[in-house]
Amino acid sequence: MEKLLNIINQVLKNSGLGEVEELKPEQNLKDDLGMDSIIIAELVATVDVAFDSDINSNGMVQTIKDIQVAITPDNEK
Amino acid sequence: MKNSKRLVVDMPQMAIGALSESWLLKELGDFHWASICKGLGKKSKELVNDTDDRLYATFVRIRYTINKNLNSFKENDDLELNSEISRFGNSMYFSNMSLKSESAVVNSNLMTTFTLRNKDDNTKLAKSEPDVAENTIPKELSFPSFGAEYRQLRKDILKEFTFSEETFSVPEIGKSIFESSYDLIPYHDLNGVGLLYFAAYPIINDICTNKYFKAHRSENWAMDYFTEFKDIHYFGNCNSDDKIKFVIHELESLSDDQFLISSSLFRESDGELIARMFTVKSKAVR
Repeated sequence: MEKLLNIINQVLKNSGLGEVEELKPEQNLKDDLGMDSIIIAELVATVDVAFDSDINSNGMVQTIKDIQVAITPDNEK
Repeated sequence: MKNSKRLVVDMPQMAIGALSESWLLKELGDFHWASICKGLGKKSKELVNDTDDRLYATFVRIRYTINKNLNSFKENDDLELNSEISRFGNSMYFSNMSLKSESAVVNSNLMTTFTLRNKDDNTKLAKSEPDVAENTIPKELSFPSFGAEYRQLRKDILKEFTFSEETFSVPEIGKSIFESSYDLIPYHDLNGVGLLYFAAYPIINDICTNKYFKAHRSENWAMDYFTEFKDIHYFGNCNSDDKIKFVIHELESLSDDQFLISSSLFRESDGELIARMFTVKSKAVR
């Protein structure tokens, strides 16, 4: 999950938000990481490109756990 | 994905002495929206998310530069509109468009997302994305700079913007040289679903800027000066019973007959910033 951490920190940095040292499943993208809807949309698209995923396919992601589940291959879930 | 169409400048496309900026915005916006629908293979009214809620295109940023100014478009000019659209993810769409006559050209960039409308409150629009089987609009592999600049301005960390290959400082949001209140006019400020129309923001901006020039300058602003550049960053909407607070942050004379205006629109009810704009106006054809 280091790749995901790096992506999230890059998006946070680009947006003038504080970076995080680690990812916790319960972290909420808006409430805990300070992302607004545009930043979340950028994060989703960036993660989709990096992981060849479609992380909003089961609904809009809200937490780190939502992203982690969405990018984990089916045979590893 | 590229699209094009031909148009003619007749009276509906004209304003006093120039191409109508209101018409221009509606035409560009409509063509962008039509390009999205074509790429998604849906009619606009068929666009819904995975829970079957209707989605609306929401403009995030629009920028246009005219090689002269809007005064250089004349009645009966033949126009050619060309666009190229791409997307970043499933919710952000970017168009580059050019509108050309024989003697003038408008180059524009547009960015939209999708939102769900809260039927009781226009201040609480939620982002969403369309539920479609196929999307033929090509993907960007990284976040386009046009969106990145928007995000930085939204977070108040954008320091500079460019016009005509020159760099200008973004003034502090708290700086004010002129303020004015604007009562929304439902007949032309609101769209079909009761939201403040994206094309109304820059016109409200111009109406209020005209108040400043009437009060503080001798120039006949509305009649003599025409848009050469506008960069509109949309941050929010408002309810029909609200008012707009307009602020000019900075006014800079770029030459004897050319001004740069940095301005913002706020909701009066709660003071929230709903748009920032950078405008260049100049006297009849330079």
